[in-house]
Amino acid sequence: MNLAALQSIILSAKLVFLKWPYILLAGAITGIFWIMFNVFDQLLFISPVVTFYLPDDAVEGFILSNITAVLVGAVVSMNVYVIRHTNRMKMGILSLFSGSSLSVLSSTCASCSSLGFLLISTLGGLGVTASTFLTTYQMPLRVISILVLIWAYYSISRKLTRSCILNYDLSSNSIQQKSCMSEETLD
Amino acid sequence: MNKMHYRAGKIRVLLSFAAIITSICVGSMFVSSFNQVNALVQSSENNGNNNNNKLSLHTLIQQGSPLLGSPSATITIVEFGDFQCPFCDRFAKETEPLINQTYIQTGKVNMLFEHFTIYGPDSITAAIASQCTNDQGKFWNLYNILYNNQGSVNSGWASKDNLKKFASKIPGLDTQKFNSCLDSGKYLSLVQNDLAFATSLGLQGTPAFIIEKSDGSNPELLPGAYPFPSFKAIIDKKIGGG
Repeated sequence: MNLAALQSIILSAKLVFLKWPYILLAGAITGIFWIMFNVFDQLLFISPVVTFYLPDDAVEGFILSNITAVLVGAVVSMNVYVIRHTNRMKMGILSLFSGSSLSVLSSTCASCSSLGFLLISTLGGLGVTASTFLTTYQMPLRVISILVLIWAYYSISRKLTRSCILNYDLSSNSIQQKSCMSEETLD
Repeated sequence: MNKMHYRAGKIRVLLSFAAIITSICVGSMFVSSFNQVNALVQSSENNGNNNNNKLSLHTLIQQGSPLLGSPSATITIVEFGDFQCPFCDRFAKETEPLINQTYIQTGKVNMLFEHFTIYGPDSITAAIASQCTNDQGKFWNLYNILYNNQGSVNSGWASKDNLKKFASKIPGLDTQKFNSCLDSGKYLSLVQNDLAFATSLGLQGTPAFIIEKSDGSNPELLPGAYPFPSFKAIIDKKIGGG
């Protein structure tokens, strides 16, 4: 990663996360996904008593799911910022959706859960193969989802901080500076 | 530019639609599962303390379910498991020893195992093998060995040959009798019946636990590899008459 890329990541983070609504939004989304991942991983239980426990076999997955939850929160918050301030509604949505979907899918023990049962009862032998794949490659899938989310974060950062296009307006004899966030007229 | 905005908007609508449909499907799956189990719990409660109750200790032992602990214990835990399930493995290593030490060995609770083989062919083979050891009173020995040696799903770790090797480590087991039982597939129908029973209860994943009075009344479901405090809360409540 070169210096320019790092600078755009830092600048975009300052642009978005120095405003408290976006910090709150990122925190809320992170919290929701953290709860979801840990319920699916059978580490967090709501009834009969609220219990959280971390057995040895779950430590790796827990670390990855924490990273994923934070990334999803950050990327969603940045997307909301972008939607509010520009017309670029498509930016980062696809990578956000694929990254977060992949992380949710890989965070369950597919064969143990309802998802595996649904796959097997609906698709038979193909369902067994699919649920076996999801269970066996759970960790690599989580790592891939993190990489997709990092790419989503980087894509949005780059587009938020890219250089702007200057247009010269003949009628008003002025330079119309089209910034990424707002339009300003310079005399 | 208008075309791009139109396309971007269309993609956003499609993604939102997909997310809504997925949420509805997943949500209805969970609701349906709990509704079915609740229906069974209700019907079991209506049967009351009746040894013909299909969840009663008496009925399940008659059907061949392996028992751990004293038959006279008043509280029964019915485990629905698959030897290839990673969460079942977690329960067997983290929680079952605590339940065993605190409640089973003190005669307050006993435990039954029902085969819920949802992973594939190796799950069925392992289940049959475990029932063959139950003939000689060694089910729980093989239970521990299988979970201590669990491999990747359907990778062959629970092949017939490996199961015979695992069984040969059990002290006092007649391996010739075991091998003959395993090769004949003697308990295939029992394993299939267990699977049908679990499905009829609305269970959709492993492990799942029903904690109940030994006559099958007052069942409570724990769908998942719950930690010891969750079991303790329910068991203590039932011992106290709740």
